[in-house]
Amino acid sequence: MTSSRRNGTQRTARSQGGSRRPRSSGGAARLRIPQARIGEPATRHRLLIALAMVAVLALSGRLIWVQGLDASARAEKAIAQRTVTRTIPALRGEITDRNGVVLASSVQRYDLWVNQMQVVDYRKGSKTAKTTGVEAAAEKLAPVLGWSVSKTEKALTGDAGFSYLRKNVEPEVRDAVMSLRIPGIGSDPVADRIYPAGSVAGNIIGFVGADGTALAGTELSFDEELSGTDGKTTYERGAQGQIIPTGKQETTPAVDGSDVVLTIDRDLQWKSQQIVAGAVEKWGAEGGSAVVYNARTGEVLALAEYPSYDPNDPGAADEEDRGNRSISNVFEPGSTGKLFTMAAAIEEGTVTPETEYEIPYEMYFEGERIKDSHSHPDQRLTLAGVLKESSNVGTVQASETLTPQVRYDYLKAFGLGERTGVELPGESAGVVHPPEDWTGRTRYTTAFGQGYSVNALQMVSAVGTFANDGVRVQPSLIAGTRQADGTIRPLGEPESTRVVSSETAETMREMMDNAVDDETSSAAVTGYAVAGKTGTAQVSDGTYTASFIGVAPADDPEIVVGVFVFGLNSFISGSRAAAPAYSELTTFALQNQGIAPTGKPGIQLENEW
Amino acid sequence: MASTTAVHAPAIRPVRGTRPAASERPRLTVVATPKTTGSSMPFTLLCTVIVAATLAALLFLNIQMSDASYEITRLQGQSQRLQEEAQALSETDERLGTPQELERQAREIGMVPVSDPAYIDLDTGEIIGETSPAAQTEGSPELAQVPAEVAVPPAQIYDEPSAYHGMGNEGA
Repeated sequence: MTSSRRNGTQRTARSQGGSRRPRSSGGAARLRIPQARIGEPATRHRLLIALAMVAVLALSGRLIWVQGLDASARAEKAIAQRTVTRTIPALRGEITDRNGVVLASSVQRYDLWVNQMQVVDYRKGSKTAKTTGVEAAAEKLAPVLGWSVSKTEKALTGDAGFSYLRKNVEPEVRDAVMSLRIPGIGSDPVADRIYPAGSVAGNIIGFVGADGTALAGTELSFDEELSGTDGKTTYERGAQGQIIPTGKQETTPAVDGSDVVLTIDRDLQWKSQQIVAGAVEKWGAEGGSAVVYNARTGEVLALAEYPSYDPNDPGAADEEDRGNRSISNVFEPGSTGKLFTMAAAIEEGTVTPETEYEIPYEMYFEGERIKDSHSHPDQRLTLAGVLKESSNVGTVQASETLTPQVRYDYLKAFGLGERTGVELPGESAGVVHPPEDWTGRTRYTTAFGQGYSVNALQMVSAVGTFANDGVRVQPSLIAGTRQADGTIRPLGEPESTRVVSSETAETMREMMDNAVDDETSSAAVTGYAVAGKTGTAQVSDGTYTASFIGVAPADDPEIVVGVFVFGLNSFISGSRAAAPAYSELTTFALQNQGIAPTGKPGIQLENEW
Repeated sequence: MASTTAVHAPAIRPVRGTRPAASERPRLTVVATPKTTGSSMPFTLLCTVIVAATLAALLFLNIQMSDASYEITRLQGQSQRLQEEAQALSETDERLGTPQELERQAREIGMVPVSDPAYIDLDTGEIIGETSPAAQTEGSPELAQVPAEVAVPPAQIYDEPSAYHGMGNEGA
């Protein structure tokens, strides 16, 4: 009722302004009055406000939803669209020689690829071009790639979406190719490993596969140090690939691999390989090794093999030529083994260089016939003479002053039949049987280097004991890893073992010096006194191994050089097959290492009595 | 029509309440012109200038940043090119410095390996060892004369195809 009355009043008021509606509407008309909507501005306001509020609420709700609740997912999606992550490849460390000369390095190369379906568009719209498409592209590309036009055309023709055009091209070739702007041709950066000196020290360095996996040599044994850790960079990228400056950037730098420094001298290594090649080819042998060794530090200055291989193209060589014969090839040392028998006996005090022996051509020991390498009338030799003449009969007589167990202990102490511990894969230790197994002949043959097997590096290291005053130092090929500041971090002190006394070592050097005539020996080195011993032994397959191991200068030893010639078809003594190479190599090594002559002539001992 | 509105408004308002009729109030009152405290123009201008300056500064900074970003991209490209150039030069250096190449070049100009070096003791001035004029020696007859390219061949990577006629980008 209230409302109706109010309405009534309202109507009255309005009527003053002159309503168009007739006043005499009657009872029914009165009931319809509330329908007069024009009279409700307040309600309209409220309605509008409510509508606006709803709209604002909806919008702010959406805002909160987008910005607040759903924000992270959407933002992530957007960022993901413009964010790129690139791997920063770590550069593999270099392998250098002892003087820092690079033997293996990683370089930037590119793989060129082609989308053959796009090449047809080359110069399509050009009015001046005589030829277009594949033909024109091939003409431009051929000289850059160093190919014939027809070969290039063939490579560009087809319907392959992706095929490699040429792999491992140098950056300048890639730049030249890309500057031609041939549609469909692109390039990917790759790291390649190159060995500038080729086969020089190839056996020591080893090689990596096409994908950069280390497969042999130092590359393999020092893979951990050489290969660094890849880094990565994440940034938001604009349309042209530029970095959006306000975007989030994160960079983890790559840690490049360390450089590995060898103890090898590249020039000496090269010369050694040449000399070994000469010795092997001269006698038609299967192969050869040479070791140049610093007995005081244990550093191997050269470890040469022939035949060798080029680590840039390892597939071109036989697998057996890719290893290191000097550590993988085990053989009976032969006469060089007499040195250890005599050193043991001298150290034990049972003999001296002057001890006198009667030497027939052949002699029986408990029914076993031992004979010398060549027939001779009965001789009266001192121990020094026995070594010089390399008499088996005399050596066995000297060895019989010791028990097999003592001799065995000395052989082991000299490091024979044990891995040298040199940092290369594929070392064969050889075998020295325990004295219980020295039955029958073995008891006597072990005195002159037969009946046990060794590798070349073991032998050089063992003879090095005499050069280093009776202390054997573990041979090493790795000087260390190069630190960021350029200093070399050594791997640690090499293991050293005292085998014989300093006096015994000196006596042995004198006897070895006596064995090499300064004037007449094929092992002689002009201007220097050298001490050495030849060796020849038959291998089970019927071939012979000839060797010469020597120390120079004899009175002040600096380097030990061993030359080994494997797979000789007939008996060729070490003095013919290996000693000339020893002489050449030692001459060069002494020059290369700057070792001046001591000016002292070689020592002559009484060989006969 | 303005007068009509003026008439209407007071007519409605009083009805809403339970107050006495509006007729008690004077219908119209003369009010003083609201005193303006000077023009609002300077303030508006100031605001506009601040906004414009902020926008300009922001724009400038953004331009600077993207310029720097493009510059970085350009310099990275340049650095890459220079690195590649340095690499190419060091590769050439390494190739020319290999023992094989040095020996070949030394022999070409008539040099021979020294067979009997002499040393000078710097303390005493004494000459150690005897030397003689270098002779074109043939090496030890006890060793086979293996050609240098066979004994220790140069690295395979340097065997570039002979049909290589420059980089192809000259005169392009």
